[in-house]
Parts: sequence; C-alpha cells; structure tokens
Amino acid sequence: MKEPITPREPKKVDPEEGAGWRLIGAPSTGKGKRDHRIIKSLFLMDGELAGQNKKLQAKYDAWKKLADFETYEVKDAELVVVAFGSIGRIAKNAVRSLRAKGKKVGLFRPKTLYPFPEKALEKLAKEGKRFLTIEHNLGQMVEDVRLSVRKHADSDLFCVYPGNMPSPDDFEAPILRALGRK
Amino acid sequence: MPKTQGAASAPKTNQTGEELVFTRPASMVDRATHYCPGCHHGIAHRLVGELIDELGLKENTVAVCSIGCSVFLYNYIDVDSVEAPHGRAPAVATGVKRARPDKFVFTYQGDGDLASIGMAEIMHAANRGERMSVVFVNNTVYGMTGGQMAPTTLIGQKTTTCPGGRCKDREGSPIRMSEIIAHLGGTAFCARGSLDSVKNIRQAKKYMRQAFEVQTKGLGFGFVELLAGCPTNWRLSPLAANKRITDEMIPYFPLGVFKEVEGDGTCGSMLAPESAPGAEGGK
Amino acid sequence: MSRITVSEERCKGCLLCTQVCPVTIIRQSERINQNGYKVAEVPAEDMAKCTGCASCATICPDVAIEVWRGKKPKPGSKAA
Repeated sequence: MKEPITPREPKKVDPEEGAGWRLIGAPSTGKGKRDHRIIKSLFLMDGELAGQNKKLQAKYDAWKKLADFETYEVKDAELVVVAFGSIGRIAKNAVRSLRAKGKKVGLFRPKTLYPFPEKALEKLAKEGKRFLTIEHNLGQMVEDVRLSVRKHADSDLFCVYPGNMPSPDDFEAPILRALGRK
Repeated sequence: MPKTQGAASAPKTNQTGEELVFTRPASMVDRATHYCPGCHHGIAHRLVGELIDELGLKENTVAVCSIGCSVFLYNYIDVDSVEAPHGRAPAVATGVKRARPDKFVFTYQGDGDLASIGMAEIMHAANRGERMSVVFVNNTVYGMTGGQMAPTTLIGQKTTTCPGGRCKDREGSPIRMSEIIAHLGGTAFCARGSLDSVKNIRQAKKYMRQAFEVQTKGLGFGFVELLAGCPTNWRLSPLAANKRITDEMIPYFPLGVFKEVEGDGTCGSMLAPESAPGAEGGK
Repeated sequence: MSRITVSEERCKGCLLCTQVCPVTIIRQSERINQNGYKVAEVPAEDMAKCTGCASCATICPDVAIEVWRGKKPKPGSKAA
C-alpha cells in the first residue's frame, strides 16, 4: 500500500550551507586558512571506529520517533491483524468485510518497518488483544511483532507464498481461525 | 640539473651556503606512511604532492580516493579529499567537478579498484571527457586485501587466488588499461609510466604533469598509469620487486604516451607507444 | 660539495636507494629504528663522494632522504 504524497516547495539552495564541512580546496595561508578536510566512511583506528559506531547508534536511536503506522477498527477488537504493504491493503478489506459480519477484528498496519512501531503494538498487547501477522513472505515482520508484544501476548502467523496475489476472501478463513483460537 | 623539487618557493639555503635541492613537497603531510617497505605508492604520492605544489593547485584541489591501499592518500596529501566507494572514484569526481568546475579534481586509484570493480566508471568518465585527472597505480595485484588476482595480474603470476599462476585460458589475459582509455573519445591525455628507476620516475612525473594540465587547460580527461611494485604480495624483496617491474611488467605493459590531444581541444591522432606490446609477457 | 641526510625515523630499509646511487656510497647500517627496520646510511668517510644527483631521494618511497648541494657543484654531475 502506498502512502499519499504531500507536495511541497523545495528549499532554496543556500550557497553558504555546509561551510563547516564542504570541500572547496584548503587554503594553507591567508584569511581562510584551515586544515584539509576529508569526507570518509573508513575508520580503521581503534578508538576512531568505536566513536563512529557510537555516533551511528545515536542516529538510529533518533530515528525511533519516525516510526509510523495506521490502525483500523482496533478499539474493541479481540484480534488485531498485523500486515504491511500491498498485503496491508488486502487485509484491510478482509477486516472490513468481517466487521460487517460482526466479528471483532481490527488491523494494525506499520507504515515504517524500520523503525518498527513497537511501542504502539505493545500498547495494544497490554490491552489484552491477540495478534495475527499476515505476510507476503515466509515470516519476517512476525519476528518484530513478537518482540514488540512478547511481555503480554504472542502472534499467530499466516504466510502467503511469494508469487501469488491473494484476495481479501483468502484471508477470512485464517483470521476466523485465529479469532476462534483461545 | 633538477631545480629544487617539492618546494615551489625559492630554494632553501643554510648558514654554510648549502642549498636544499630535494625535500618533502609542501603539500605532503610530514607523517610516516603505512605502506610496506619498498611500496611504490610513496613515490607516486610524492609525485602528486610535487605537481600540486609546482602547478600551484593546493588551495584549489579536491582529491577523490577509492578503496585499496591507495585510499589513504588523503592522510598524506594536504588537500581536501573525498573517499569514494570501491572503484567509484571517477563517478564521485564527476560530481565534484560538475558542482565545482573551477576546482582541480583528481582521482588516485589502484588496479584492483580501477580495472576491476570500477571498470564501468572509469570507461564512461573517460568517454564523457570529464575534466579530471586520474592517477592509476598498477601493481598487478590486490594489495590491501592480501594479494588476490587482479585483472592486471600477469600470466603465470602466482597470487592467493591463482596459486598455480594466472592461466590465460582460465582467467583471461591481463588488461592493458592505458590502451583502452586511449581509444575513448573524451580522453585528452593518456600515458603509461613506471616507478622502477630514477629515469622512469622522472618520465612518469612528466606524464603526470601533462595529465594534470589537460584538466587545468580544459582539454578533457587526463589519465596516467604508473607501474608499481608490491613486494609484500609478490613475496619478493623490494629490490627483486623493482627488477620484476623492469623484466616482466614493462615488456607486457609498454611505457609511453598513448594519446595526446592538440592544444585546441580536438583529438589528435593515436600515437603508437614507444615499444610494441609484448606477445604474452609475465611468464 | 653535496650531501644527503637520511631520516632514520622514516626509513623502512627497502634499500632502493642503494641501487640507484651512481657512486654507490649508500649502504644498510646495523642500526635498527623504532619500527624494526635496518636503516640506510652513507658512511661519513664516503659522504664527500656524493654528487648531489638526488637519485636516491627520487626513488625513496618514504621521502626519508633530503639532498643538500654545496655552493659550487662539480661540473658534469650525473643528474639529468
């Protein structure tokens, strides 16, 4: 499932941007005198490499706030289907038609897989909901789902073999099976 | 007599009137290199430094280094530098030069980098006639990773990945890069020098100067290949490695100018190298 | 009169310089530097033979050699 795009005006190029790191030649004399700069990603020295790893870890940690997701009919759901991408859209239709039949199911659709919206999933698990992960592979995201909810719940898994394009009807039986399982 | 090498300024004299005629070029950082004893990268680095000084390019240069032992050029040459992914220095340099056409941009690459994984980048950069200069150090082996076979490894040469010696039927013939680059439309200057003797080093520096000057004059792509030794991975002493360049590499990789455009930027005729290519050297 | 200085800190004992000296005055010393290399040297008694041609410095991969040339270099020295 594709997210809608938001058009925006690109920022004007600031000719002074990057004055602290850009490479335009290193004057060795005069007013602009400075040491030569190196843009690199190869850090072989002992402490240097550890420093770089720390810096990267801080960056990955900062990404966590970018985690994004969509929920559908989860409020009173007993079972939450977790699915992403095109399978997320198909699962949404399956959930919609099961709701019309009065089944208490909902959908949790991560928009970002990395960072994974683990806090939001954990919150649903705390509320006592059960989970079914549906994936268009043999089970990858399910590992993240299980890690996120591990203190309170587990997740069932239904896999669609890559190469087949399922319809919403194909998901109804597995969802009902998971709903019926206590 | 050579004038003071390295220093672009007036020669230094001491109290007793002695003149310093050879010292470290000003744009070379005063620091021990990590290269093995007898490795010719040090010589190539020094030639780069001397030329940057002599052409007055230091404050206007951006160097691009890609992976291999040669990537550490940026630790030794005192100019702004970018590290490129393996083989991609010509692509990065294209970006640098197009963003900043007034800068002097050169790449410094080894043979495992330029002639193997970076083959597409170097070919197209040359063909587009990017205004950049390429220093290509060919030592017929992957040095940094422990002496594996490179595209330039000579027939019969033993490496860790062809322990029985490179076989033409199995691995093909060594690639002669200068000959290939010379045939591409955007190349303004292309030559092969060697670093095995004083005479050849001086000649190589002249080639490098031309490869640098075709860029500063805006004529096109400048390419210079330097035959170099890797005593460690050849399992030879530095002296024996030097002899191997003379005896085995130069017959297969002939020295000389392969292409030189006229001053007006039109491509001149392809010049024949000074010596004819050996049939199958390196045995 | 010319002379060379070898930086014993930088010399890696590759001995390329010993091969290119036209008057063969450079040799390997018995001194071992911090990195464990036996450095090159010119014995004091031979230094007067130095022509200041800078061949050794040209081939030195570690820029370990500096060349000083006296005020009146001998005519017809080797360097081209």
